Amino acid sequence: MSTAKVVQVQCVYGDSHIEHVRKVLMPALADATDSRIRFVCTNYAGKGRGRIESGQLGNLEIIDIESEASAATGFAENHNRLFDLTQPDDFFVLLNPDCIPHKGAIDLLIRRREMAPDAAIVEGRQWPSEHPKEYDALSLETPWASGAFSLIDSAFYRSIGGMDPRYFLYLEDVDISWQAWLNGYRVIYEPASVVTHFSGGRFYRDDLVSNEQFLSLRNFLVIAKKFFGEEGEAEALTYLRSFNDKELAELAEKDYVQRFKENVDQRYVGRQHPNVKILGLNCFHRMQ
Amino acid sequence: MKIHVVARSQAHGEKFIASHAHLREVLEPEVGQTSYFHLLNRLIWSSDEDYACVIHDDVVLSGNFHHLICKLVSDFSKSGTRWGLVGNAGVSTFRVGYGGDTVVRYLSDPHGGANLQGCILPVQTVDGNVMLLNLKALRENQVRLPKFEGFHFYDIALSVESQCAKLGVFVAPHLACYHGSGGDGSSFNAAMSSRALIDYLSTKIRNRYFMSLNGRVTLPVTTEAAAPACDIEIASLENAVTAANTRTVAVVVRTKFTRLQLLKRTLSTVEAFISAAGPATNFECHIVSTENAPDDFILPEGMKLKVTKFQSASDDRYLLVEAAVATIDADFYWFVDDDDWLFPNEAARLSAIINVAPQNSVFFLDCQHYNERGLEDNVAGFYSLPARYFFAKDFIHSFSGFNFTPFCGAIFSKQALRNIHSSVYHSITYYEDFMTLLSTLLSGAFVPIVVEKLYVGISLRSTGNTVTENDRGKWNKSMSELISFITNTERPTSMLSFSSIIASQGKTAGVSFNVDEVNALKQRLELVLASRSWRITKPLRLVARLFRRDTKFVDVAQQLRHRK
Repeated sequence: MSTAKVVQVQCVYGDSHIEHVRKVLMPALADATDSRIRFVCTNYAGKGRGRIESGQLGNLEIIDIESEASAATGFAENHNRLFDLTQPDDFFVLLNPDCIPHKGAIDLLIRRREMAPDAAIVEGRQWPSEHPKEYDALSLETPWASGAFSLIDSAFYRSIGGMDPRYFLYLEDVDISWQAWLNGYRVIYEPASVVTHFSGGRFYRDDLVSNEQFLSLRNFLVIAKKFFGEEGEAEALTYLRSFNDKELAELAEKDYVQRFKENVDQRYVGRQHPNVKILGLNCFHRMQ
Repeated sequence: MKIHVVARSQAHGEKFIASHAHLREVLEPEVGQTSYFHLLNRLIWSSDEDYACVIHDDVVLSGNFHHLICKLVSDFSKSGTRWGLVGNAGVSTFRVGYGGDTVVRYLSDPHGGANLQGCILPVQTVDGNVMLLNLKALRENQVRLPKFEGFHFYDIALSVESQCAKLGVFVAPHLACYHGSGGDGSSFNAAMSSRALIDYLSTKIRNRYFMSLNGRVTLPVTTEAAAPACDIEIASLENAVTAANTRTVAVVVRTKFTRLQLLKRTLSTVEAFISAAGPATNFECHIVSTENAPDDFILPEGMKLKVTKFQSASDDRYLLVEAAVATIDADFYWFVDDDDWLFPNEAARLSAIINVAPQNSVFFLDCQHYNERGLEDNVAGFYSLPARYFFAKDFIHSFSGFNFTPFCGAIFSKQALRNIHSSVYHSITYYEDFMTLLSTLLSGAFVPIVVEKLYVGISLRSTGNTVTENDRGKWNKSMSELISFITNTERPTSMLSFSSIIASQGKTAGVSFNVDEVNALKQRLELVLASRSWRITKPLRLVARLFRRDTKFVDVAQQLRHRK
């Protein structure tokens, strides 16, 4: 099926993921492709934290790269570092540490990319909770691809300097998808390629503020300004201020104003594409 | 150990001593206090004692009170429990008992009486009417209360400080008493408006709110990055976990090896669950079957397979349960079907709860139906849509005569399963979940513990599920056996008489009634497939599949040839 000799899979994990990565994710990865796998990973929590042992596991070459940071670093920063240190040739796969790839899942991403060479990103489907975002039933194009399980073209990734680390967590995947569309690439969804992902949505507690809740709101303002300028920022603020959790919304706005408002890169402002859109608060797609 | 009586006046103190003459030698009146916070700090930092009991002057203690609290301290020492504070009423992280309440009360006061018996349980906060303090541990862990005035929130503050110092906070029946005051809601609300209190609590715990016995305590929002480390809900569990209480739960997957891809899906999620559970409880996966595994089936590492052959059993699903209990050495058993799956997201929470719960517990978990479509030889291609949600706390509604708890939604102890006579395992085929549940609950010997998190996804497909069978004959036969067994039991109780109370609460649709839901879905699907618009658009769907290269011209041509 696949003609790739070595497939690079990148995974950024935390201390709580180590057992799962060792005992569940890596063994499942071996069945996800007929190719050999270079599993490149790092602990985002920082230097001196728990690690995955580097070595060989069947057709898996495991390369754990220790973080040099003294504190936790973000999703984009870590993946960019893994990419820069290993320079995968043709493409690489992002895989979240709480996932379990199904049999053949990576080969299906590779096959889809071979049929769509202008695709910068090919996203796999998540089970049991498929993301309800739109994708075109004929072209399989989708506005954005989730970073939980996606194949990314290395040349494209290199050309844009990797993902934007300012987000820390959440919306880097929307950002890089939009950059793909605006640079003439496509973003494709491959529903046959499946990964088990027990995402947190239904488990969020209303007595705690999760990173996803806060950072998604704050980063919404960042991405709106980055791609739609002052007008986008104003519209995003309107959406945010109508959010029913006023306290959290205010916190997100305050953090944005203090840390990001004046230094968001706006090189994409003025460039348009039908798939680069904001339809509501943190809504970048039609629901399917 | 001294019992410090916080007396409103000299007269109140003398009156208390006079009414508790049997405790005269250990009573220490604390008269003229302006602040409970100052008093507690003084006891922690200036007292010579390792332990102390602090009480209101309007409680009435039983004759054996001092003996009981000394015994409690001794028992804690023997068990190696790390503790800072014990009370007689508190708010738990999980629901307890047939009433399924998060509030545990071991006292009588104007609000009511006790709602549980005999269990020492971890709580988030306690009520301050009677408190037992581990002064030594509080000192060693640098616990200091803020220098606040007055007589409100000291119990919450001490509970929070103890939790943050990783010292367990418990409720225990040993501190049972009569308390003559019901508290003052307006005073609580006034204290809640204290900026100093809110600022203090915000530096201690990350929660936006938590429940106390007096009401909800709401705190300002802080982000995960900026928040204190202590989550009072989880801390109350983790602080109470002891290595000595590590129990073993056998996750038992019954299978015939007829749907291998689904089985592998089940096992991968069980592995994920076990990886996430941590060390508080030892989860082991066991596969039980009446058939030998096929040659190409690779038993995952760490899992065990037990094959038991039964003589002439037409349906052996319940016999496999009996066999599992007889052959697998575990404290608890969790039966998961070979087409269902576990959610690992809250595995660590369940692991801690099993560790801290009484040995004679039965655990109820949330689970959910998923309507799945796809081919069983391509499980990776399944689409799974969430359907009916089974709430763990609804277990009590099973007294209505309809089962509200799927088999995978409960974890039973070895004793609960052994209590079921062998003849029952032989006679009941369907409704094994209901039988096990009723047998456990009706005995009154097991403490229901309700964990309100989603742990199991239950697969529903067009075929392969007994719950969707149209012929209800086997179901009805099993129900007749079940009713006969539970009503002719050798150890009858009156607990079934709760059924009229439960039925009056209106829930009537138990687990087995979901067949109507599935049949309705099937009918709608059949209508769609038979519709003219579906037939007309078929060529367009074919073009789409060709465009996506999901099929080839040669296959299409072959299909057309066969149709002719």
